[in-house]
Amino acid sequence: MSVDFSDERISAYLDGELPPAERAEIEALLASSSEHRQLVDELRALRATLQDLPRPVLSGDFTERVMQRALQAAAASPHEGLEAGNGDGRGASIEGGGTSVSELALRHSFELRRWRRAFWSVATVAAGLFGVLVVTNLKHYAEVTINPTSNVNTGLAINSYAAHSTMSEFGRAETAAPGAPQDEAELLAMQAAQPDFSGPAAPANDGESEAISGLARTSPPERFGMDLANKSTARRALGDVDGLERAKSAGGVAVDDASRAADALPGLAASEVRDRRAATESGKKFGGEAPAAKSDALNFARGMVRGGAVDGSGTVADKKMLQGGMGGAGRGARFALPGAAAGSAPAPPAPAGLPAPPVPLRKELKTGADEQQLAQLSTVEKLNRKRTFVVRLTMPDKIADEDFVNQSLKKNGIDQNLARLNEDQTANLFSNGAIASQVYGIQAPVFQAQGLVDELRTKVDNTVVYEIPEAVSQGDETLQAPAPGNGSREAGSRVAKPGDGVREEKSPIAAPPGNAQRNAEYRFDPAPQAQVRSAVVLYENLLIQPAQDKPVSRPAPKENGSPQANTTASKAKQDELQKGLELKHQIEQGKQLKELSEQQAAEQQEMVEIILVVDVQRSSPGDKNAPAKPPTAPK
Amino acid sequence: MNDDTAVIGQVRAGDSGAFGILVRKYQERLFHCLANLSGDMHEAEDLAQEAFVQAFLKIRTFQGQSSFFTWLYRIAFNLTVSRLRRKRPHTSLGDRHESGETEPVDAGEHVLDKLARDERAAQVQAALATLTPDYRAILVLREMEACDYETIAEILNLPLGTVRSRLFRARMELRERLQPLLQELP
Repeated sequence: MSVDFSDERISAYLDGELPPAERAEIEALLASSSEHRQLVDELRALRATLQDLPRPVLSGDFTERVMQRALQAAAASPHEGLEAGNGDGRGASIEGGGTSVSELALRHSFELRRWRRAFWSVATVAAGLFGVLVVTNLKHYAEVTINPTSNVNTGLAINSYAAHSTMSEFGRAETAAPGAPQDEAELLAMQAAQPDFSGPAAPANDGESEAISGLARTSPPERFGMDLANKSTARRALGDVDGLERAKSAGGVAVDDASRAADALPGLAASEVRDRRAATESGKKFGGEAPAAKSDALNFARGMVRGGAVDGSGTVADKKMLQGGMGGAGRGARFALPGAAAGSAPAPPAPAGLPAPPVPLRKELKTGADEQQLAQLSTVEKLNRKRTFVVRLTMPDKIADEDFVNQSLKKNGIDQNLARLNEDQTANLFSNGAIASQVYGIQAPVFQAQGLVDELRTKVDNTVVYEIPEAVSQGDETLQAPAPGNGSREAGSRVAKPGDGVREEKSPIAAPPGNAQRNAEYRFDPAPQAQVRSAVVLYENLLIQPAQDKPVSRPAPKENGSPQANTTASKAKQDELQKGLELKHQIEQGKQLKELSEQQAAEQQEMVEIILVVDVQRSSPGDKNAPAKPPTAPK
Repeated sequence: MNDDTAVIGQVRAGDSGAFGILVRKYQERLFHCLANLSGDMHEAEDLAQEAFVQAFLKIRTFQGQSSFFTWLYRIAFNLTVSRLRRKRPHTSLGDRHESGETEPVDAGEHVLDKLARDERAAQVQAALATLTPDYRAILVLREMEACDYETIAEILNLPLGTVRSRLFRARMELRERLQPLLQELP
């Protein structure tokens, strides 16, 4: 059978989808063509055959399963889907069918989502308030004048303050206030929503009961079910008597703080304009002019809070959220960079009822390495031969004044933001987990992770040993992210094999311009085991202190003869002796060269360990504004 | 459709149970459609469930420009066609029919007639299974669901002209596969 244009119209004719004119044409065609009539008949028979196919029947519980599955999917994707309604939905009948467990659970899920959203709003507002409070309090705690653009450290202080103490307790208060199911239907709904939910544990003792009661008093009733979204956290919190006790005392504080935050700065979280205004006001208190940067610092803190408040017990209950928070923190810090010069203030003490911030590290962050041995090495030797980085914090008594900072900013840009820290600030810097290094103008990665801080605390003599990316240490133009897992290596030993791209002749001193910008984008692998989340913060006063370059002393030819013999010997004998000595010296020199060559060869083969030695020292009073003199480039 | 709009409004307002109304209203029709499309009852049930879940999750994005039915079918067909393009069906409806599961039986039907009908259905299902997912989809929508061209175009996101031409080609291909059967028909 031939198939032409009219056939397609026949199909449409069969479906009644042709306009009257075309329909008339097709009818005329069919009247004249038996072939086309047969086609139409066959197509009609085909339709009848298809419509005659048996209709399969759904299983009886399909609706139930759909609703239950929808509930689970909605719980798994809290940011997606329905807006929570205004009604509480409790007790409402399900239209078109009886009330089912899954439908109850589904309804309950919306309540969870609604209150979870409310919780985050409150937490955000509280974070903003804490940020403002901490920034305000810095004035009282700082012993030195805060540099107006010291937002980075401000953010760090907020970070430490909020994420490690206050908000952690806030989170604990939230997680420890799950609220028992009010009736059997609710428990069933919870079980339906989360099949492995075995229900909250009963209070183990009177103290726990009291704690729960206390939490019930301090927590708003509408917070019910908020923590059911995280059943494991709820269970853990219920089983954690100590946590409950702490939450009992901290829960009220957190709620009060949140209320105060809402009253004092309504819309702080919702409005970036207001946020910036608050940041500006905070900045003005310190004579600052970097409201955007201040805002970023607040965002930084808020990001940390969001990450830390997910699970008050200190564990990562929602890694995605934590990563988001850390990312926010990193962005906050990074965005603060353009207006940032390092200045710092110690974190204010925690208010009553809250745990103290982390104990700062020793002020003397000196390595346990043999200093004499280090001193005998020239900088070039350290960099190229021993591959040992000696990083010193130069800390004048006074923070650089604003003019100097501004001039420095204008003159040198981000890479040369010079500011100084005192010892307390430096210690606080480390206690907050921020480690920055400015290696000869190359901005090295800065770590902002509690995990790293913990790691530092465990190091003997506070020796900081961590991996310096090859691209950074070598001043490479092409900065490559490390292979997965590299950033999480516990000790910073880096294995360099011959020919692996490590260019021995090029030191970080010779880094080309523009590396800092690229390095600013550098991120360490956020391996969870190391909990390293990168945030780029620039502290330019963390410099490699050039060691006293001492010329490599050559072994002087020894003269074995006594002075008296020298004076009495004949000139020929002296010449002969001299020649013999020279020959001996040459032989010795040859041996030395050979030994040196062997040593170098051995060094090529051995593991190359880059050691970052952090040595805090106080600069001379007269040198308060002068940066550490950069070492000379290796030849 | 007005009923659907009201129910959707209830769901959006937080009355999640109202979504059950929509599920009950369309589940059989959708399942039947997907069963013929996928050729696998188990998979059809799974797909229908997934389509309802997706509709529930995305119901906030439903703008009401088309009917809920069309919107739901679009979700379901996208799911099904994409899945069919990845794999072949495991269990045919014919297999399921042979097992005697869930198929309603007409008590007054003669045994031989039933056997003939089953055989014919198995042939049609087998022929349908040989078609491409796109052809299957458009045939199911038109011949089994009696959707007009406009609705088909909306569900499959196709121009009207493409619907007409694709439907014609699908019919012709299926006609060719079922030629012996069609010639036997009275």
